[in-house]
Amino acid sequence: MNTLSDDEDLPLAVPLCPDSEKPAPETAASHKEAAAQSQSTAAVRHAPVPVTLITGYLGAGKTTLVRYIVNERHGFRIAVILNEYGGETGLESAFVQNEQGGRADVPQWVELANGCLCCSVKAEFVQALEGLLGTGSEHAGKFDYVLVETTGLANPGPIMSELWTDEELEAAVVLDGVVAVVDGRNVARQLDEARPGGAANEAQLQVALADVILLNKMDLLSEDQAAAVTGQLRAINSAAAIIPTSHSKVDLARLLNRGAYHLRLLEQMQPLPATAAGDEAYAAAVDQTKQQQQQQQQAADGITSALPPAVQQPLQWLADVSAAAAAATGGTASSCTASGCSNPAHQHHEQQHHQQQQQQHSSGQAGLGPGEPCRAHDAAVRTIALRVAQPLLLERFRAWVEGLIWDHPAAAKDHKAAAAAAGGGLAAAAEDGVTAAAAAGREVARAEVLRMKGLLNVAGSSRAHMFQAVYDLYDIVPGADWQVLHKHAAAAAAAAAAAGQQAGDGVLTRLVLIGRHLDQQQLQQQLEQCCAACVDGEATA
Amino acid sequence: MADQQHAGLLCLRCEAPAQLQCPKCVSMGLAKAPYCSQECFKAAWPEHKAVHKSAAAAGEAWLFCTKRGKSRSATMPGFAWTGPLRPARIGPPRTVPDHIPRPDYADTGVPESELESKQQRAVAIRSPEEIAGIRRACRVGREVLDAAAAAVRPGVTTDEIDRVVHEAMVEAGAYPSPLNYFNFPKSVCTSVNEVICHGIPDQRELADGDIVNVDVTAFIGGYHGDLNETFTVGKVDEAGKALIKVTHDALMKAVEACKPGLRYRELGDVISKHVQQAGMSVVKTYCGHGIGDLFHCAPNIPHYAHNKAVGVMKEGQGFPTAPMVHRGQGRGGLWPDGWTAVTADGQRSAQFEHQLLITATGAEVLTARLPSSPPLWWEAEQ
Repeated sequence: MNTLSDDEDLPLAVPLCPDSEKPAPETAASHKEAAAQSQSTAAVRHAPVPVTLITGYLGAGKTTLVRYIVNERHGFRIAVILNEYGGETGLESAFVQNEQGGRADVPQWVELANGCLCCSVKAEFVQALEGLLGTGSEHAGKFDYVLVETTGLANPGPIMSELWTDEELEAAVVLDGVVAVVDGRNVARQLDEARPGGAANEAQLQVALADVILLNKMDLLSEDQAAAVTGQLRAINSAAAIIPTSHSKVDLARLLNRGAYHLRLLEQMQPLPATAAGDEAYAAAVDQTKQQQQQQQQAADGITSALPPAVQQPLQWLADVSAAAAAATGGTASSCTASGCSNPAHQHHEQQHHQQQQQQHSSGQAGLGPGEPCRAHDAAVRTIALRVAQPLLLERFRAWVEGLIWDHPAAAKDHKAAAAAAGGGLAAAAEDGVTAAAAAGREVARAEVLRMKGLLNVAGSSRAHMFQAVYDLYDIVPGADWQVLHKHAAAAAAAAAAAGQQAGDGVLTRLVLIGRHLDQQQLQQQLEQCCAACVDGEATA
Repeated sequence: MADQQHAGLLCLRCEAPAQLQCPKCVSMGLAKAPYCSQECFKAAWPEHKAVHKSAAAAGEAWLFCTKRGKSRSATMPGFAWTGPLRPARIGPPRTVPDHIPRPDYADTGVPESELESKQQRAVAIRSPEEIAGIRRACRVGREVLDAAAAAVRPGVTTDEIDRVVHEAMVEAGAYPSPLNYFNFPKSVCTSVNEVICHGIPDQRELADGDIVNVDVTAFIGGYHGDLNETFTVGKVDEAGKALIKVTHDALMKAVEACKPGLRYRELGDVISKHVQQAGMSVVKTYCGHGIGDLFHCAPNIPHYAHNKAVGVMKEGQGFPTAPMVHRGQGRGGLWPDGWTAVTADGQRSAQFEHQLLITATGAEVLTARLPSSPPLWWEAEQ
């Protein structure tokens, strides 16, 4: 417990001090000695390290992806936090045994041949990250990204909100994005698995909360099957990029540096300083790779890279939200009139289903009345898009969002009351809607929102506001002026047109919501009530 | 320490009148080991040095804290100190009598119940029973802090403040919450000058011109009552006094703003605004009581602007708020003891903390100052 050595050297005896009972103070000389021996552990400001979460059921190909990351010479320096070593990852447990102290509270980082770092934690990954990034960590400067492999059945929501730190905190890490690896052959079945109480299952949550979905095992799917699965995934989450893969083979540049949660981070990621002469060449190479990545992604989105980040970011946001809105099942109806068309993205199936239901109803059979939401579809996670042209009253919008994400049935009890108190009229109106429905003998489940993303037209401001919500956190950040955005959005017009959306729509609020029991009409109405033009905010019948 | 007079001390080896003493025993705070000469000391050394080892092993020695409190060192650890302050040796552990109820970490160091509460994102609404319990714990905390405040003056060691706090706690029937919380070695946090928070009481004497924050938490009746104040030691310069006042006022502005319906995330905006207007900045690196200063600590109400704190204030909710303010910029650093947080640029930092209860119309300050509380510097100067 103490560090006295066995062979203490004989010191010089000091005079007895008659007056003072206190021990002699440490001398300046001993301080200097101590300082001379020290290495600098004072905090050095590094750019925050992007963290990517990898989710996916066991067998989806998540571990194959991780194995690729830790074994191949891909040129990225990634610190990987695994669930466990051995098995499919290709890391022999013998290799890491002599590094491991066997103590759960001190995760050991292992340096790999390809420049990556690797660590396995059974307990909270937070500890692993702190060990990696904490003051005086020996690994500082040795990596550019962190990847966290979550367990197969994890709900990414709580982990995401833990990592989505307030940017004012100048934390060492920043949530960069969530990648879900999905088994193309089995995901349809996995998405359909019921959970007690009708709760969303993990597959649905993983897809809903992803920024990138790796649709894996394409080699085992026919074209039709692939199209069907893609459509199904898009219906759940139309904001995510879907990348078809076989054997989890993907260009890592498409997974990293997505910047999905950097609302306030207006500067592009700065490269970490090189730690040694030999590293400088490597650091330069990494810089170059990063620039290329950014250019590639921007080119894909039709945005030129010559723009300042303050414009680039909201522009990217606009493109993302517009594309997501266009692809949402709750969005503009498909104009496809091809007979016998089996493209699931065109929602022909849904239209047929509703027609059948309505036919049943009008012929007196049990079913739905016209305009009523279809219960079967409601229970599934899906994306809906909302839009409103008139400026929003920010205060009312925030109360509405808080009612949606803090009033979640599965959330802590205290949220409900608190949100009701704050949401005032709107939450009460929503509550009324549910009560009225219940009174009419119909079960209308409360809207469960997992993720929201939008660009807001705010009353009293000429700036486009970027908005994002995940799990129970949300943030609204003012971006560039609308005029500036539209000037540059012309360059993105081509991409937008391909996604079926008209560019230059003017100044309006666009929102996508991913969740369950989302009543498009009701939510659209509620959003419209947040407008400045709507004075009393009361629910209209 | 021994009461014996200097004249009476005899050499431990040859019993001649002693003029010298072992310096190691002096610095370790052990009983004096007198010797008549360096030669006698040298001859006695092979046997005598065992005293240092066994004293350290028995926890009797004054040593430097390391490894977050799990270990001790006889020599000051190396570090690129950010300011003039240095750690000093800390004393042997103090004990709390068995009859006083202890929190779960008192014996193990690990607060299991708190780790579970990390999952909680909302601030709980308290029942009248719970409120009564919290109120009592806060009152005890206030009284103990006042006792500590009365002891602050130049020449007093922070270890002495720790003794005052510890004894006052025991007398009130309370457990001093910091003691053994994740192996924190003492019963109170004393943060001097550039220390932001979690300073460990040690042998260092408070100097004229210092500012010191004393952070007291009482655990009684199953609840923690937590508060802190920053005091002036002797005569402090205008800049230091201004720093303290701005921090205090920022806290009071936050208190005024609290009411049912106010979003928790807005407290940070209120505090930040006041602090920035005074040309200072809110310390952002440490966000409350949790470990893991990289992430959210729950339930947590940040003091900086633009935060994503969840929830809206409702009557019956109780929570602490504790802004830390400094003049400089930049992240904080951590001393080798693993606890003491310091400003990166060595500039001074101040803090004030109250525990609040939301009422129907506003907030009640459960840790409010009493008429008997020793005056804060501007109150004393009136």
